[in-house]
Amino acid sequence: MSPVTFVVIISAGLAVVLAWLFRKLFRAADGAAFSPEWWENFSPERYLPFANLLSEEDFTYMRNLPGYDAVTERAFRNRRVKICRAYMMDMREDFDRLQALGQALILAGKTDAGFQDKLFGQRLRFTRAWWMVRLELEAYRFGLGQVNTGRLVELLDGTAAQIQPVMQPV
Amino acid sequence: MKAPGSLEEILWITNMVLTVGVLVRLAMLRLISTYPALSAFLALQSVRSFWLLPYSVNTNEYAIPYIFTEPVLVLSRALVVFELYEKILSGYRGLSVLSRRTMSGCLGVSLVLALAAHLREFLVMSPKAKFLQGLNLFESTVFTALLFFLVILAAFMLYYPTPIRKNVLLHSWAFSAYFAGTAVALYLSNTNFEAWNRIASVTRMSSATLSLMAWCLLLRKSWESESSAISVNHSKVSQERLLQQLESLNMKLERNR
Repeated sequence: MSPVTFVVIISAGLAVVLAWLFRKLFRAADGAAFSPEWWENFSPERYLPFANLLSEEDFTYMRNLPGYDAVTERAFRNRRVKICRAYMMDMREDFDRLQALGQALILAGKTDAGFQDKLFGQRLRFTRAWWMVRLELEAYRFGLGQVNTGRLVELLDGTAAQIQPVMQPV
Repeated sequence: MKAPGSLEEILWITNMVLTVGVLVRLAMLRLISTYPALSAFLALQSVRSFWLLPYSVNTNEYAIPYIFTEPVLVLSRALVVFELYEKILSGYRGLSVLSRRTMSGCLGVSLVLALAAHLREFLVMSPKAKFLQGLNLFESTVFTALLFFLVILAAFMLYYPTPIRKNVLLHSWAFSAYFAGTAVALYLSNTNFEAWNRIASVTRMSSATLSLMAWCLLLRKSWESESSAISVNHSKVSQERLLQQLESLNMKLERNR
């Protein structure tokens, strides 16, 4: 590869990365808005069905039905995976809103000294769990392994539990 | 001063006007004391440009002041980046992971990446312009390291959003674009000095023009109080509004008890 071609590729790559990164940063405010209505209706329990969506029991039952075949099972699996992905996107949005609410509380001076660290710790754990579930989902599509969605719900619950005491009216 | 002839001269004068323009805008918006390193850098850059303006590029009157002032300007750009880092850090108050040790580590990683990216250039030196190439290489390595540092910071801000002043984001973007353009231009120049030096010079000045124009057009007082990341901002009025919003959340909770 000639130096000029290399420079052109690197420049184009850099331009794209910088434009994307800063565009996302400038527009980040649109994604994580929270409102009283959202907080009022928010409950991590909403995601409890998510934990049972990929239960093997459904497939065991299905296999005993007349007319069962592998193609139907695969289609059924794929459909469940699709629903799970939609749940996961909603979960991430709710998690981002919880984090934004946490940041607002910090800004308003309503939190103690270790709150920012706790919030960041939850973000790290949630990211790791979210990607683990995504990977497990991909494997699950091919009938490999189980998906543990429970920890994601637990983490969402944990973040909400951190914010709840600060939000309690005095 | 002779009339501008080449594209380089036109870009140079445009950059000079825009640099003074950004400085004047900062002064008019009373932001000089908020961004002292940025203001000092723009002032130094303007003084150097006015000083060198009457001389032709190939004379000692131009070359000697250029060689001696360039490291000072490189250092002042680095100080601007550290000033930006301080401003960003204030948005993450209380977060122990962003300690000075972590940031030194980030800077170290950026420097190693920059040196690795320039390894080949250290081996290719034109005997005709060894000193200028050495200076270019030093600048290019520092700029690439600062660019990596800014990109790491931006990636962190994206991962863990917190309210950051939009002007700070604008400065980060403008400097990243400038460092990226300049590093690429210097790479070209160092690869084959005789063939690419003029094109590299135009590329470098064009990236500076682009960044300065963005500053001139986008810099505004309201962006000192408006923030990214969440829908709250730093002005007293909006902080009161935020408290009201949190208060209304509390009232709803109380009603539902």
